[in-house]
Amino acid sequence: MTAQIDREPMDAAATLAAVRESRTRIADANACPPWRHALFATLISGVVAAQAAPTRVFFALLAVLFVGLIAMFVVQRARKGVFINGWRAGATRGVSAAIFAVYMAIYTTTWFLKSERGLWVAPLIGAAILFPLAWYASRRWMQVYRRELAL
Amino acid sequence: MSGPAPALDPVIHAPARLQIAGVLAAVSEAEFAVVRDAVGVSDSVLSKHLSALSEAGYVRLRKATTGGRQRTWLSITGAGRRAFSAHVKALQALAGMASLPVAAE
Repeated sequence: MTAQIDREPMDAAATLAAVRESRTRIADANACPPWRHALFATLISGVVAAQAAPTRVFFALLAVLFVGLIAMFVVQRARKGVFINGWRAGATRGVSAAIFAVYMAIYTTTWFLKSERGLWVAPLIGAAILFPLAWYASRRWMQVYRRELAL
Repeated sequence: MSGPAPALDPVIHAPARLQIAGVLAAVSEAEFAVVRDAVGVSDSVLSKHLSALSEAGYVRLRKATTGGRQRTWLSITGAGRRAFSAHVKALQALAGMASLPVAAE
């Protein structure tokens, strides 16, 4: 038996509106408060800043920061009942790739300046540069995500 | 009439199923209750639609115990994502027809 499908333009518009509404509910329920963007920026800039610390402290800080990053996603998943991968397919991937590239560039540059040139202050300056960029990228990611969900 | 009619997928054409696919296409994984609330249907209606979507290979269900409670996590498959995307495009094409001016006599 062939399924009967309405091909009325008005029905199509109403169906799309209903899908858009459901997706908007998901976007609203998962909207990040400002502190969460700041926490994300703090954690990833912290990884850069940690290079300024002595080796043993560096590894301890790194462990704390990575546990913090994982905890941020685990808590979000448990509280909201939703998991959204930052590398999900779609327009948001460009934002993720851009901030990852910036992070890698800053990390490797500050690592080189500190270990090869002895500029221990470089990681701190790098972290100060990365923080606003990561904060902006986090906000931008959410804006792009919301726009994509509106179909 | 200009051009062929857009292809619509009967499996996800029901509004609730399209909404479920739309919600799951927006996330990596979502809990049963989250999808139920976003779509605005009862547990039994959602279960029924999920069975059909799962049977078609569009949705994946995973049971997990969290805090002593068993929860069902839902995610869309690659085939489901493609079907949703194609169906939305077809609906957009149809909806676009509504805004076309009526030809003058």
